[in-house]
Amino acid sequence: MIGAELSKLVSLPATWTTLGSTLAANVLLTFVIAVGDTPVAYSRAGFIVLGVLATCSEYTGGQIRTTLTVMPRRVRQLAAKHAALAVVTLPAAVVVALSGPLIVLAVLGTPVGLWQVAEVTAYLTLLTLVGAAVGVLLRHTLAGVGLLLGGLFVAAPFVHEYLPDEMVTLVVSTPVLLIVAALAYRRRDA
Amino acid sequence: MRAVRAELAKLGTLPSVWLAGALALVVPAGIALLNSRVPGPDRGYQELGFGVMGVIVLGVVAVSSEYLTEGADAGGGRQLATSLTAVPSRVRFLAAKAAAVVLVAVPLAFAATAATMGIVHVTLAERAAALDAGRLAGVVCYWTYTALLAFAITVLLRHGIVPLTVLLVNTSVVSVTFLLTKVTPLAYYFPDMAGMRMFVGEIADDRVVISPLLGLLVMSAWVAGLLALAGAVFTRRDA
Repeated sequence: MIGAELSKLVSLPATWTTLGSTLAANVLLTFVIAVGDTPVAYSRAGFIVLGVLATCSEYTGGQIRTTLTVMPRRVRQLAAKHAALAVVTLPAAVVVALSGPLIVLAVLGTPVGLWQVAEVTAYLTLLTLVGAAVGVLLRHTLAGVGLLLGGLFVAAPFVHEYLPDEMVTLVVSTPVLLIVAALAYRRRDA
Repeated sequence: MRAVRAELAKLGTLPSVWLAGALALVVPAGIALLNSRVPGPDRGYQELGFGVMGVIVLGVVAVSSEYLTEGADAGGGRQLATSLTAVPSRVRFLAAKAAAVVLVAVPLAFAATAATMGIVHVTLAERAAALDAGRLAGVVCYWTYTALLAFAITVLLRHGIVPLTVLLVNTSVVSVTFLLTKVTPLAYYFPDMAGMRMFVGEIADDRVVISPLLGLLVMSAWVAGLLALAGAVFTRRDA
């Protein structure tokens, strides 16, 4: 099952375009920002798009019906989709998380903080899964991307003082959203 | 005229456009409410500068909905083929669509300005910045231009995801174009950085001074250029 979902995800050109442009944007921004604020603060948008695309691509042209005919157990199918997405995202997140510090290392000689890279990787992977869960709930790529980016880039800077640390918020909200998405997916018409 | 009315009907029946309208009203007003403890000369105006995401969604969706309809029953439908059968002149079609976007964006901008300024004046009372007709007109102009910018870029790309992502990321408090100004002062002439000058007096540590009028001219040039490019490309290529 994971293999089937993986082959669907890998054969989408959008997956590769998104990941490629995210990495390119990250590298460019590293040069622009140089030191200080991390470029991942901007390039995380690419991972959100990837997550939303992964689940919403089922709904353009009715692929969802074929998928559910082959794999009728909905929760298992959705879990397989998320697992496949994580398999693709994790290495991509490592590359993006490493690219910034590596450039800084090459230019300025500041050593790479491995713990920080691991944290950024986990952050990006969780963010992708949140994107996928929101995609399942909304079934509309533009709406999902608009909502998440609006929340993260426009609203979040103004409400962050009322929330716990961003990583804590994400670790708590990801499983909650995934469960809500799975329940909704199970109950409603495809 | 009939084409404009048809485009307005299309916009009015898109759920995403209603979402855009809600965002346009709630986002700047909400940010103004959260920021209300700190008075300043740009309070209200700044929130309206960051809060343009509603019209961005409007401009993008107006075009992207012609190319891709999502939903289990839409079958990946391309509404554009039907639209161009009804209105075969491409220039007329695009002009009607742009006019419809403007006709939706202008009242939205007025409503959002009224809501945001209302909140600023209620929460700050006499410490709020005085209302200035020129700056308020600047806000409406900036919002309308932003919608047209999103519209033109989406026509060029024929897909909504890229313009939506890029433009929304760029509305964050520290925008990408603002970061670019640290590399080259030319970045002050990006449409959003220049257009913002129509109503925001001070942008953090700015080294290039652009008057409101110059800001208007620079942003007008960007919008006119991109619309002309979109029109030229749209008339030449296959739908």
